[in-house]
Amino acid sequence: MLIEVEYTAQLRVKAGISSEQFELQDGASVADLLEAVAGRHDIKEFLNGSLLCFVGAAQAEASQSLSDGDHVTLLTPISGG
Amino acid sequence: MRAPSIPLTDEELATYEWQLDVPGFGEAGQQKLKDATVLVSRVGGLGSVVAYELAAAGIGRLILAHAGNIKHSDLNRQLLMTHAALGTARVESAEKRLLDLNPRLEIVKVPENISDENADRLVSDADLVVDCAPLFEERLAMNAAAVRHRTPLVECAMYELQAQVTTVLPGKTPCVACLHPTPPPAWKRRFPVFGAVSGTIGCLGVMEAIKVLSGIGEPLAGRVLTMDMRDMRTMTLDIKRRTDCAVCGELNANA
Repeated sequence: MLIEVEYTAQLRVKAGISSEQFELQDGASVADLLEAVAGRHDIKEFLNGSLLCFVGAAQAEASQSLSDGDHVTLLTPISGG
Repeated sequence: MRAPSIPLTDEELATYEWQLDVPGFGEAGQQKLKDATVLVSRVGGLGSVVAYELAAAGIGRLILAHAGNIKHSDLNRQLLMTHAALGTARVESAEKRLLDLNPRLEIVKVPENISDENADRLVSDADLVVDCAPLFEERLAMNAAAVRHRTPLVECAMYELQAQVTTVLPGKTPCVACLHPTPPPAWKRRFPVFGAVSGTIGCLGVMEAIKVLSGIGEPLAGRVLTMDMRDMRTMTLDIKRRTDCAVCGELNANA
């Protein structure tokens, strides 16, 4: 199945793109997607509880299953100053 | 204890006549702003614009918490600071600029950043908090105090050309600790940003504050607005309360 991933803030800078697609096995979860993203980009520092994941507009847990065509947004922690 | 409400003066009615015409706001909304105290955590890139727009909107009382003196590197975004005031306390420069705009404004200057030690004292004196701090340690201390006092908290955040804004209504929406229970290691204190980005987000945060205080519109309760100013793309994402949140997990919506 095909999943569209959108990067924000630090992840967008790291990836150098705002979004891209991933081909995953049917039944794959958000956690599987993050593993695939980590295979393409150096996002290790964000995989320690620093990321919020959304499927469509809804916040999702790592265990949530994905469906073909899902749009996943990865929100990194940002603050102020 | 809050001071008794003082009716709007003729000068105030003249000053705010353009916003008094906003449907659903009117004199009743303006009176609510005049009667309100807002705590702004840091008056840097975000907080300078937050405090300035709140002063322009006719908030009655501002508590400004920010330690330290003005540096050259503040001046690309901290719009309450001036070149002439380099080396002096940020809260002093902020007060002067705000009173130039609105001499009716009452300002409480606190030359400290928010911490576990002062958060309860400062939040207990405010009707609403706008959080513009750079460190998650400050944000989590402020969040815990806001939840304890059931005080609405507007969270403004930025990175590079990107924005995040959400409004915490304790017991009803996720709090900061629902999203980040501990300071996320990936956040770095020094980050790239333009002043126009912090200014944009500050204005969004102030509209959240005005909506919550006056009762107009729909605040970003349980939603986070994200904006990427590289392509002006915005999203509104639904965020979840954590039932096991150590800060707000015990609160229910009617608390």
